[in-house]
Amino acid sequence: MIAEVVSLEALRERLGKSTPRRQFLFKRFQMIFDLLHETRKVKHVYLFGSVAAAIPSPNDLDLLVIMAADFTIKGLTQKVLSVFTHYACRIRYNADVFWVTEGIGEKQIKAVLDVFSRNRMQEPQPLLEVMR
Amino acid sequence: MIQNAEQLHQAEADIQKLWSFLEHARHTHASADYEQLSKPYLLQIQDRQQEILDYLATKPETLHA
Repeated sequence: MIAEVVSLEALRERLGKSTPRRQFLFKRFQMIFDLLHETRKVKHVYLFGSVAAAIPSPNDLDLLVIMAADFTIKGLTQKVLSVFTHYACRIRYNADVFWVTEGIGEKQIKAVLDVFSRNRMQEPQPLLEVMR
Repeated sequence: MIQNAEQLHQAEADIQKLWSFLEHARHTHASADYEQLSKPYLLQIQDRQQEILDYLATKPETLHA
């Protein structure tokens, strides 16, 4: 599975402007993206699901975040920690953040990327890697 | 929603991949990290298992000529 690489600005132009719901979710994505990078341990941020697809009013954000092997949630500020805490992230940012560190190994990361590259009808769905 | 046998088998394969992913994550991450990171994957597995159960719980009527 090969993800399409897009910049944050390109993502905003392409998927973050067309409807109020998309504008709302893009702002949340940007907040998460900035908080993730505060850790200085982000390796890859993938966006998939309804926001990455051409749906006018997506429900929420779906992200797969790969962190450096030595990343830990220990010592994070409360605000950054909320991105890595499932229920807090859902409530604050309307987002499901699936995260893991590179320590799990490339094979497992590829396997989960494969799962998230298809929707529930098993049809291919867009998978975007967002870069700064 | 699963609508046919092919989708059923793919959903089963995806659940297996997520199980295996969590098994590996359990070995490679500290306890506090694993407890947080596992939650969305576990919910994802639960959702997909429910879809399989929903599919297997019914059988559409077969039309006979």
